[in-house]
Amino acid sequence: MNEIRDPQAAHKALTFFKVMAFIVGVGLLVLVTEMVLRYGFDNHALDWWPQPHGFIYMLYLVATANLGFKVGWGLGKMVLVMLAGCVPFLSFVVERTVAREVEGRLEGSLAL
Amino acid sequence: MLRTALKPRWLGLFAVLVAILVSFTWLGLWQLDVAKSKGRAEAVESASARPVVDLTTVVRPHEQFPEDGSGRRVRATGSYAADGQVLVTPRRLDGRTGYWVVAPFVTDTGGTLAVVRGFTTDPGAVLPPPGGAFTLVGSLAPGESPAPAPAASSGAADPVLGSIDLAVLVNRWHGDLYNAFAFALEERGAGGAQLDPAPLERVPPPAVGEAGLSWRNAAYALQWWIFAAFAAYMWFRMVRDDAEHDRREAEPVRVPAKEKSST
Repeated sequence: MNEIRDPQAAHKALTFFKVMAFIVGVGLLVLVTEMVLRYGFDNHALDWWPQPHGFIYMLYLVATANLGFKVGWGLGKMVLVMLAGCVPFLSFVVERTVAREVEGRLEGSLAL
Repeated sequence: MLRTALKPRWLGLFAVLVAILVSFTWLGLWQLDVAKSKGRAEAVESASARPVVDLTTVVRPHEQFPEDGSGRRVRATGSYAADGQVLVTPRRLDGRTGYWVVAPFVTDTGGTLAVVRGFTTDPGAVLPPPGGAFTLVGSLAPGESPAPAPAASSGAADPVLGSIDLAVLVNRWHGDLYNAFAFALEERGAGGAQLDPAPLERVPPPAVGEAGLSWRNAAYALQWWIFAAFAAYMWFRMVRDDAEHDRREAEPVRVPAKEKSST
């Protein structure tokens, strides 16, 4: 993995990513609720949600790519982190893992 | 940067990118199609959900056809004129080619409305319109463009025309013609009994135009296309980063960090 060239930009990208990961994680739970209500109980109260969630997920993709480019991830890792945003609860775990990794590396590079 | 893009790794990823672009564009088009057909279904549903109103509240004789008049369901009382019925061909119903039977309907309020009584494939079997007063419920449509009458006569008792051209009908029929025609949905006699259209088949009114688009599906279509554009950006950005990396290796001299790659 390359070294982080611009620690400040990377730190900002990480914050953006953490926020988006949290929002997508919560949004995904709402989406699951919507599907359970709709297909399980024929309740259409949350039918308006999938569409805005699509746009929110898009922002998550942007945040992931933004962070990935700044901290030198490979394409495979970026895609995996992006896909993690589609699995309920997994995005919370991945957010923690990613944050720990990047913060650790940032500390190292800031210490230099 | 072009040289970097031609590396096998980026070429391979470019193939993946093209596959993503093609499939996402196609998925977007499919969603747009769903959006249109859903919108059309909703428009038709809302048109048929609108209440049946008196014909004269929608349009009057000689008046211009109202913009929202297509597919409006109207009611009028009157009777068919004894003569004046015409056949219009070629018309299709369920894959068969045949004739529309169109009769002048004289309303109690004194106007004449062209009414499509039904469809038949056998013009010789068409009977004159039923006599006597009845109540018509029909779906309104604007008059059609002129079309030449078919050359060969078909053994029909009634004149055969190429379209419901109101400019032609106004010369054939008496009275004040409506700038509209109606697809007969119901003809109820004085006792409330349905008049039997046999041997004609009722013509279902056409779906109303392209009006309406389901915004939810249209937004899905848009999302597929944005995802595709995003994939393209990812590829571009990775190639650019790689090109920058190569350049840096090639010239170990320090360059300002903000500089952008040019080739």
